[in-house]
Amino acid sequence: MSKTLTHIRSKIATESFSKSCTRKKCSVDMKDVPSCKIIVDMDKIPSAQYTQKKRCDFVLFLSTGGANILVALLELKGGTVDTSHAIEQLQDSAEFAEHISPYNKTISCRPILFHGGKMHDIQLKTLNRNKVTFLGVPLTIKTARCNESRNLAKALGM
Amino acid sequence: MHPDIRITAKKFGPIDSAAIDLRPLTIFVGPSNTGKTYLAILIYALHKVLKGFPRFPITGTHPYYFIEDLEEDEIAISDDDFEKFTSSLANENYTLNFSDLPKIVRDKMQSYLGEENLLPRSLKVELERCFDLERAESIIHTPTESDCSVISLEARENHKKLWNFSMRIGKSKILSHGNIEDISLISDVDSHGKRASVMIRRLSKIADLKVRGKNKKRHINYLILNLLEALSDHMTRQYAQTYYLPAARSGIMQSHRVIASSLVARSTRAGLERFPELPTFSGVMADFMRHLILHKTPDHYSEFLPRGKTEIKEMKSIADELERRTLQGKIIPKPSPSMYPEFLYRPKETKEDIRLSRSSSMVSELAPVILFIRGNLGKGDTLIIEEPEAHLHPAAQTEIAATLARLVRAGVRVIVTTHSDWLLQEIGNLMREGELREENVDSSLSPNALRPRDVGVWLFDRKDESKGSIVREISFDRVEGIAPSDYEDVAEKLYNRSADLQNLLAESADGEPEV
Repeated sequence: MSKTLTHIRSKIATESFSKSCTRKKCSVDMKDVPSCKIIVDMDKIPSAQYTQKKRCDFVLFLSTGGANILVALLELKGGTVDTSHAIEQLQDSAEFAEHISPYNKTISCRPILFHGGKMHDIQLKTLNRNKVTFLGVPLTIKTARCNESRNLAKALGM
Repeated sequence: MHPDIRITAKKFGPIDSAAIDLRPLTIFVGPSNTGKTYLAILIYALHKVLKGFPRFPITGTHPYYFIEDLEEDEIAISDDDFEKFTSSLANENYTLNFSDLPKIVRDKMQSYLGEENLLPRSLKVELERCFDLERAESIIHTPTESDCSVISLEARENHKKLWNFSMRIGKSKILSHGNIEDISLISDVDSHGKRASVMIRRLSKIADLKVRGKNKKRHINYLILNLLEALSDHMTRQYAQTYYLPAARSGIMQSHRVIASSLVARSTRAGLERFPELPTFSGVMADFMRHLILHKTPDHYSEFLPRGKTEIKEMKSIADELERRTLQGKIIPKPSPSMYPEFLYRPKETKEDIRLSRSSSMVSELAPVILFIRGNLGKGDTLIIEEPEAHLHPAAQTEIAATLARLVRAGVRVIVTTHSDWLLQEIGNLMREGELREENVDSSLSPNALRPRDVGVWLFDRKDESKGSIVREISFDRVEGIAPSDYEDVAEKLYNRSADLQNLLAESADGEPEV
């Protein structure tokens, strides 16, 4: 595990580590995703460590070669998607990830909304207009389908 | 007015399996090369052969086809059969069922649908013509000896089966069969039913004549021929025309005069010059051109069935509205000395007539739609339009939905193939209006409202590239409207590509030194 990942790992309560990403009707396939990673189940982060109001489902810290770290913020919606709520969850979790990440240019972030069915034009427009800011960079939320093969790898362009 | 028609096709061109119910408005959606046009052309060919899916599948067949064998047959009709037939004519209601006909006539009519007979032979030729094939057998998608294409039709009225027909096209032979149920030959709902009843009354008087000996056989044949002519007269009123506007119509609109005149020019050299290969049009394209070239010349059947004044007025009003709202001008047919009419576009509030070749592609696209509505279509006819949205701005695509709805409400059966999300969204809105109208929520709703049960949307889906496409119905949903899932896939894929690029640009800008 890279030094940066080890550093991040040391800042997170051990009970919140997870081996997979699944919520109710929605699961994320880890195929083709770097094996060197930390999966944080955000529901298990102790409230003392999490000061934000809302939280997404999982935050992944992936080692993508050398000192490069990719932070993937995952919100899993198996049923109806409330885009405004999902944007807030991802933004608050981005702030959490910022606090525990060392500030340097080798860390990038991708907020991803997993959904179980259809995304309407209006929902996609809402996502496009509301960026998630991570270390000062306004990021556009990507979408992916729950339960599909390689859904995370595809969303991350791997 | 139309019987309910279910068409089934298996291994037909790119289609692996399809079973569709024709509704007043039938819409085919799905990716390219999945068989939407194939099925639309098949419906056109069936429509042409069957004269518009009538209640009785032999409509349009000359009575002599059913009587010719009787003339020669020594034991044409048994006395019992004749007595039964004449007594059925004497009923007070002047109704007539299929089972009332003499057995020999019924058998002949049933065999009309069967192997090696008129209907399968005609359909084979029509398929070859419409699809521009040398042999109908080429329609089979998977070229193995055991595979065959299957085309089936079933007609129902008020959930009661009227008739069915099925044809299997194999590599080596074509098999077909069909059955006519014991249906009432005089349609209860047909406004011309009275006229047919009068004919039956007359026949019943002829049947009452006491004729014996050698003259009896002649008398029977005379009676049956009269009956068949009366039926033919009655059923001719159920004829319906079908018109096909192919996807390439805008190009044809601009070039049909050149094509027609060059064909004539070449024909003068026939016999002097041998052409190694004569290029051919598909039947739908040839028919489309024929209608343009013979604009305002009545069709064979429409000569017998001229449109009524109200009908002409209604169709004209639909065409006028399309011109006013979408075309922003008029389409003007101009007679020419060469006999091929020229169609011109006159923009609104001008007196300048512009050739279609100099007008926008939208004008060439809509011109045939307007001409066919105004000049050809009538109640009960079928209009098949490939991609009515072609060359149209999204706003115009939604407006064409209103035209389709008005045609449906005027009694025209409309079949469209489309890739337009805008068109589907507006049709979804018209269906919502139809629901509200049925519930009498608001009487001020648009007159173009469509009842959801009058619309059928069929998705052509090809999941496995090695097989053909499967056709399934997309049901209407108050919230979703008509939403083919593959459209959303495209929208989401586009969005995610945009998100990727935006993120890279944002990160790239973040790394640039501040000035």
